[in-house]
Amino acid sequence: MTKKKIVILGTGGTIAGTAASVTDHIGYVAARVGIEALVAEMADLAARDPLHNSGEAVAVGSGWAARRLFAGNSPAITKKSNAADRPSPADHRPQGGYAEGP
Amino acid sequence: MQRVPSPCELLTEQVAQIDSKDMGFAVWAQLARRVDHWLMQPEVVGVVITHGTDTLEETAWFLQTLLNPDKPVVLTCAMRPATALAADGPQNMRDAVAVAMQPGARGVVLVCAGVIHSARDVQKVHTCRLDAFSSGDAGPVGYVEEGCLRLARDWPVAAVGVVPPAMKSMLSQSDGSDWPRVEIVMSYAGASAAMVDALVSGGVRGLVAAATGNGTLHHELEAALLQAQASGIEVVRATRCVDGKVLPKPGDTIPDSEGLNPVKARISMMLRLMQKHFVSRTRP
Repeated sequence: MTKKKIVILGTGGTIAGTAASVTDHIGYVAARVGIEALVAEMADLAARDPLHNSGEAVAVGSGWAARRLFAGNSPAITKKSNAADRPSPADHRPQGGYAEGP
Repeated sequence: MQRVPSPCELLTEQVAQIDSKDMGFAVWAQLARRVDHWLMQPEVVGVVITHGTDTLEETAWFLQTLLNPDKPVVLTCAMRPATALAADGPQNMRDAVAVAMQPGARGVVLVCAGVIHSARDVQKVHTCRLDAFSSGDAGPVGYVEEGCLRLARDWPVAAVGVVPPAMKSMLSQSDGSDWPRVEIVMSYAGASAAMVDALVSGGVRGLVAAATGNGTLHHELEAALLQAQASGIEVVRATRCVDGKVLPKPGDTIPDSEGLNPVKARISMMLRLMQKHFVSRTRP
């Protein structure tokens, strides 16, 4: 039997946006994180969710979730960046593991 | 393409990578084409779309009017970027998948902050709070709580035969550059004919008036709109009020938008104009 499928289409937006600081909710650049990375994070959470746990081995995500947790606990990253050391928009993309959009 | 084990297989596809304030017809055409493609696959039970919040209600209404899907098409979003300390996107996406997996779900809906909104009723109502959307008087379709749905009303069903399938196919093959130009003009204190006159001389095909209150218009703006209407330009009245709909009354010279807000009334008008053009072109 063919397994049922849900297709997740990425178009960008704030959900895929990145900012230089974890406390910055408005000074971000939208549409930076690829849809594969966004979905990989959800798969990571699904592993410990009884409602969504299929009992199958769950693929380890791109590291996005782990990095975000780390960022949340890291005083070095939570510090508010000032204009002088704020990275250029191109530098807002977190390092490694993210699919780029077209 | 990525496959993630779960009760349903999740497939991903990057259709665009834009800030939704910059949404345009080319992306809409491409999105409609991909949504339509996936919905036609028998093993696909639903489609989730991640999207910016700014024009989300417009994309939702465009897809609902064009595709009127009998499977769920669930738009979701975030008010905070992915790097935020308490990002809302991951939970919104999980909620959206829960809706897409729900047996019996259908139509284009939006899921944000645990609330399910229909494409017809939803509107962004806040600049920054996480629960940034409202379904106004109609209220939400339902709620997602701990991965489970609690429905407040039936799934949205659009009027049948809104867009003929042949036109749907033609439209989604387009790059959007030939779609009819429809613009919105607002009525306010001191409004005049200037905006309408400029748009008419620029070749606009349709005008949506974002009217005051129950569809009322400044008399100078109204005179300009009636003149435009008489020259063959399509005109409707929507209200600039957040809640309520324009109630029609005998003697109305400009039709009302049947409860659609100005940006959605514009989309319906564009599709209507395209349909007229399509019918006249394909008539034997």
